Amino acid sequence: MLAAEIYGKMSGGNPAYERMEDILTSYVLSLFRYLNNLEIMEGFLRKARNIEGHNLTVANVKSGDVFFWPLLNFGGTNCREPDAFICLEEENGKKLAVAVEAKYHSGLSNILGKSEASGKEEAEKLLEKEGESLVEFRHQLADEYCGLKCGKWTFRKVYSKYDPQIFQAKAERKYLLYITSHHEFPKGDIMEAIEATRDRKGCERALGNCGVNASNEIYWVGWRDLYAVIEEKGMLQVPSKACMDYTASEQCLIADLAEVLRIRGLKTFDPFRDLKPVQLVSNIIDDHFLFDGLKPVGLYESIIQI
Amino acid sequence: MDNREVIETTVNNMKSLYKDIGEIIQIIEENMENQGFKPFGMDAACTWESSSSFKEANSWLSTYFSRAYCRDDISRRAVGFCIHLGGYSPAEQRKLERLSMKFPFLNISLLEQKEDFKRKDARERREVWDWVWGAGWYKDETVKKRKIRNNLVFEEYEGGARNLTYFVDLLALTKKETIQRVIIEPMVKLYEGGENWIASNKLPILPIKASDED
Repeated sequence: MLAAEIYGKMSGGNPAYERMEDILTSYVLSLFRYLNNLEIMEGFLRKARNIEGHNLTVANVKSGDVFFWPLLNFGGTNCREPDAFICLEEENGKKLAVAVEAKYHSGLSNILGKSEASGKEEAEKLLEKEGESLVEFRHQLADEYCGLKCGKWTFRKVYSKYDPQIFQAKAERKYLLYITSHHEFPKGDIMEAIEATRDRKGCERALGNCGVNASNEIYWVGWRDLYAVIEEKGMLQVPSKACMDYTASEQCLIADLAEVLRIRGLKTFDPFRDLKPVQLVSNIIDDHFLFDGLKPVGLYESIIQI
Repeated sequence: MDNREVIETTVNNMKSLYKDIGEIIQIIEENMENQGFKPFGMDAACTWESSSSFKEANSWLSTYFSRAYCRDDISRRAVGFCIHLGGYSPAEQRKLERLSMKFPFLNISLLEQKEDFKRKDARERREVWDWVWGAGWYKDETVKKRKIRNNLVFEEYEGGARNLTYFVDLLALTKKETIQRVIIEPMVKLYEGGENWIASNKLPILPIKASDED
């Protein structure tokens, strides 16, 4: 949870919405670094889906670590800074690398020439306005995916038993993970990323099947999925059997994180649970002309159960 | 409970209810976008007509919420929904009572007109939201023909515009799968011309008194 501060993401120079996003990213992904038992984080990753509807395959993780805000250079993409790079080692010794792009309130930072465009529609509008001579539309996820496959990465030195450069170069499986506040799979963003990867211009290293690989290797997961995993594991109940697998401090860490997700409106969809009944009014001052229109209400029920 | 607690609980209930409604709208919106639909207007607004004037205190609170969508391929059709929380005028409440409708509910409507919809136009969005708001129940003098069949309301207006509407209990929308089943899928089917699909799929929609038929 200290990462946002260590990496200088809390400075007043960053807009408030970016700080909120970076702090949330740091809260959640730091668990890869702080927990001894990565079952919850494995469960979170397993909820991730690609455009084909397949879940991310990850099992029997022995240990892992996370490296925040690395810089990557791939062709003209030297300005890209994914939010994290996760290194995981499975029991069988196989290495797994996951580059993460996380969003909270903001959309993707796509680039068209020197301008920023939040989506393809906006980019097309800019293109219409400024002319075809501009350089191509650069999609943030596509840049980071291409960077994951062929880019040069720079990691800040932090205390870790892992060397992320080794994972970047030699991991058996590499994925790009897009984490957002969406309830549903953000098909538009992911499709645009796959198309931008496939259509990348001037890339000497581009393989014919880059677009196909991207559709299998770019995943999305919602922040809410983490809350769901914590809930499913029974970690929100005290005492719970699941808690046996975690130390007392780990339990507090997970419970606090769940509370942060709840406060940020990122818990599982479960509407109409927080409404409170309002009782009959008994006023301390009888002689009043205001507030006499208030009515008691009880909890209501649905007419049709679906 | 004294007035202080009543006010505190009421305000907290309103905030909680608004948050839940926001989430329901977000789920609908994301699913519609995934199906290739685009919303009317260029932002995430879903309320209109509320007042900030101290002389119009009755209109401070937003009690209805709407979004409408269309695709580029069929530009004379739109689909939309309106969530109605209540607190309507006595005349409006009487219209709803005649249909046995109880708050809070949603209407889901297919709109069709002779001209193309201008999706990005702010004024057009407001007109479309107004249309969705009253579709199936408000029945003003512009409605020339009205039929209720299988709990679906068909209305035709002067000039040939028409809408088809059904109603859903808001409090039944407690799962994403339910939203998918009773709102998203039928909205897409309606847009694609599957008017009979709604009736033949026995959706758990709200029953309407057919006595209002004319």
